[in-house]
Amino acid sequence: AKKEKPQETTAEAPQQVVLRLAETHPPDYPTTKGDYKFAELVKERTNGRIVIEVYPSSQLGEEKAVIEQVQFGSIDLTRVSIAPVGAFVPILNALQLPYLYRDSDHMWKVLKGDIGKELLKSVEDAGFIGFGWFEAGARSFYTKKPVRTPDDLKGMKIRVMENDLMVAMVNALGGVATPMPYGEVYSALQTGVIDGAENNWPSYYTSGHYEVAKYYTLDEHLRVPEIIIGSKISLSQKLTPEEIEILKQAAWHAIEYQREQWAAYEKVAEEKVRAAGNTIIPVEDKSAWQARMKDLYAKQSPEIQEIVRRIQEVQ
Amino acid sequence: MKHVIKILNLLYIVTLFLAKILFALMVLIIFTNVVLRYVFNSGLRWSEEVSLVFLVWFAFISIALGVKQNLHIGLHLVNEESLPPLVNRVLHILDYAAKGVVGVIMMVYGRILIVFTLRSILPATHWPAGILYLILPIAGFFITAESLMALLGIPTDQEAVESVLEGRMTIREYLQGVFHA
Amino acid sequence: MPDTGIATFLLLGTFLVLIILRVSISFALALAAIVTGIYLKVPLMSVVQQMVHGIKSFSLLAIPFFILAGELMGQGGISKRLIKFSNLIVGRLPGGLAQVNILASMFFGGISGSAVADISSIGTILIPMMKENKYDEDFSVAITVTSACQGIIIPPSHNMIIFSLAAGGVSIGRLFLGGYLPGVILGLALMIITHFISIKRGYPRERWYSFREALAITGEAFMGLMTAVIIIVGVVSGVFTATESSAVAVVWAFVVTFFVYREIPLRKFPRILYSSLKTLAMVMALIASASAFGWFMAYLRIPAKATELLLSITTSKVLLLLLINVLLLLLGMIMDMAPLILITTPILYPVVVDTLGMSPIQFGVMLVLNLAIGLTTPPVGSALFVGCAVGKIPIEKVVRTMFPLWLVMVTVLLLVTFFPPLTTTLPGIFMP
Ligand code: NA
Ligand code: NA
Repeated sequence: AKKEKPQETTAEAPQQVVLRLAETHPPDYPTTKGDYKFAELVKERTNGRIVIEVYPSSQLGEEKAVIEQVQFGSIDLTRVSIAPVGAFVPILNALQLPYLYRDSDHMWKVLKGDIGKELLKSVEDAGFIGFGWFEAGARSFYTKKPVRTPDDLKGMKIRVMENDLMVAMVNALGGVATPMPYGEVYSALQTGVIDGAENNWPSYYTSGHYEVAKYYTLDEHLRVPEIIIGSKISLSQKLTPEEIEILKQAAWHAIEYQREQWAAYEKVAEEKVRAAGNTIIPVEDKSAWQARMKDLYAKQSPEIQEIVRRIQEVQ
Repeated sequence: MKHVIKILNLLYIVTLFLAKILFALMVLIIFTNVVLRYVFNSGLRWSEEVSLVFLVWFAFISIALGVKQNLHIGLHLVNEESLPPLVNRVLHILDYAAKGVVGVIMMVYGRILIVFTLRSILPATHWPAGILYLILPIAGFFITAESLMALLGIPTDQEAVESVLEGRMTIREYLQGVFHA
Repeated sequence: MPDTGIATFLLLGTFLVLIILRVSISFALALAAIVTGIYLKVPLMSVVQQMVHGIKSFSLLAIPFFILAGELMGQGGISKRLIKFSNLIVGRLPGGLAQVNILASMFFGGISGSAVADISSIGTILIPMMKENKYDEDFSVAITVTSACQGIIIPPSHNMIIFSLAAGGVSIGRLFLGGYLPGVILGLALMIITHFISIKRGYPRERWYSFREALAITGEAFMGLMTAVIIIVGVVSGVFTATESSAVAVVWAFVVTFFVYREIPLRKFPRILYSSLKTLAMVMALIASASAFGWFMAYLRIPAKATELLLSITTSKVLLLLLINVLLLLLGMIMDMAPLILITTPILYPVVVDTLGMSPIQFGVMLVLNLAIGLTTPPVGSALFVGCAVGKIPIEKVVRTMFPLWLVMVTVLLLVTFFPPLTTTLPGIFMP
């Protein structure tokens, strides 16, 4: 029954490779748009041979499960926050330390420089290939009373994610860390069960928390970038080393586009919050905040402390 | 063979005892957490993580229980009595073959999964993430063993085990009953 | 590269063939996932990992707890007290016991999430009682079976939690609230039709109670009904999550059963844990394997293809919703509720919610009510089976009496489908 000549097609164009990229955010989110850009660039640069299909909205599972699947090769690529990857690659936890950077430019200098490249490489020991970083904004405190200095936080109950580091950070600032599921924060703020919480501009706005916590103190304590990682097992089977290199460069180029998308997205939220009449408190000098993190930094492993030292040296 | 079945059943009874304990503990953990939050304004940071590990364990033990006690129903589009015995026999074999295959996959790939996740940790308790999957080979083992017995037509003291589980018979009575018989 | 068309065919085909061959549904789902995984060369760790992750959900924890609370109250004697309490309220109507049956199910529904539990506790008491009092046995069974379905849409409802999981985290509190009005309306509609049937067939009324009796009856029933109050007030006020409220409800039910009602001794508790564990076996197996199956559906983008297919038939919202409801009713006739929720939600959600714009709450209530009707129909209907077993009559004899009751249920279903305020008003007021 084999009438066709199977060689015919393969001789002209090499067989197409489909890679699946798992994303937790919805399709119109800036990060997802970054994924699509990455896919577009890869397709262009391989003349259509490598097709990356993006699965948004956690279709292929929640972050932690997806990371495991990337590890054993069921999913080829994923865009995730650094936080869950830290459980597999401890050195990445360095990037989750509070008040690590002076500002956004500082972070991107670090990520695009040697340190960033080293850290991308570091995921390989855990069975991943690191492709690039995405912007996820900075988290700041929003409260029911104005907070201008760390002293103002004293005794305030601040909701944090269920995460040792965040609890330690808020406590070090003098607040009372109150871990609680995200969905309960609105009513907890409303009823005064907590005095504040922390998040980035877009979440502050879309969650509606800005309606019940009117003061936003831009201390920018946390800047945790997103990371695109791939599966070492599956990609080394499906792609040549040259092609993996093409993917890496495409991811690197998608970063700029994703950062623009993020900035635009953040700006919309910021304008809405300002229009609502909320008090935005800028923090010009972060040294008073950062000073309180001394013990927290000192508790980190020597490897992490070394990375931190190098990050702080970057001008 | 009789002794093998005894040992299997004993392991099985112990596992189910564990499930009951986990069940009660889960209630206790969540309840305590609520009380702590509203009365003492604090909480157990590990409560969610630990309850979820317990839930997974508890659920997979219940799945194995379902195979043992034949609780997993299928579609009965036609009345069993109206089919020829041979057809019923074949369908019965197919059902347990399917359960057996799933049981084997749970054992084999559950083990690989544990090895893969050995290095990562759960954030609140710092338990190895593999603990979540540890129940896979265990439940898989019981499912496979039970399916195999059913396929081979070996009786497994079903009713005696049920009596023990329902508290109508002690483990000792069960063991003595068999070894003296 | 493996072909996604063949893989889709393998996934759905293996599942269909296996369930037709009477393989247990949960194992058919898992095996279909395994076969597809082998074809797609996806490491099979994915299958078992997804099974675990399907279970590993904090909201899922509420299901064992609701079942345990229901089991405690059921074995502890709540049904008897609810029946007495209902008798106090509606016993004097024509066909008093039938009305009691409906009202008691409404109350019981506030504690248990399961129609079968309702029939085996309330039906076991009321069906023999009704027969003794000259009610036709077909009617006694039919009204028990139909009214038991209220327990599924009146919160708490573990099927709503299953929907919430399958839909990717729709608020359980809002779903619960959404189920209230349709549940109560279904109950009232059943009471009205029962009223007319009872007058026509000359069913008796029940006796009066003295004030002192009434007080005692109300007091005892109230202790049990507090379980329902704890759950609802807890979830709606945001004081507890659904999971927390279910744990508090277990503790409350535990105290009421062993220290207030005291019909069963404390040493029966392990046995109650065990019987809950048995009830859970099937649900847990389904959730685990449907999660692995669902992962491959997502991987193969089957929901998107199904949306395309449905929209290619018609783009009229009314027609599509009718079509979907008919499809679900047909599926519900042959399959049980939990597996259908788990399998159809990921497929239908993109069409009904994302494309047709129905609110997730309304869709959830519609789906659950629709499949609840399926529990009362032949050839496969667990509520009908248990009801007929309790009433000791063959299914054929009940079916004719069921027709007017099915009509009532389908009417409420249509109301839920085409009249959004029915499901969205309460969540809008209490959990905006
Ligand atoms: Na209910
Ligand atoms: Na049915």
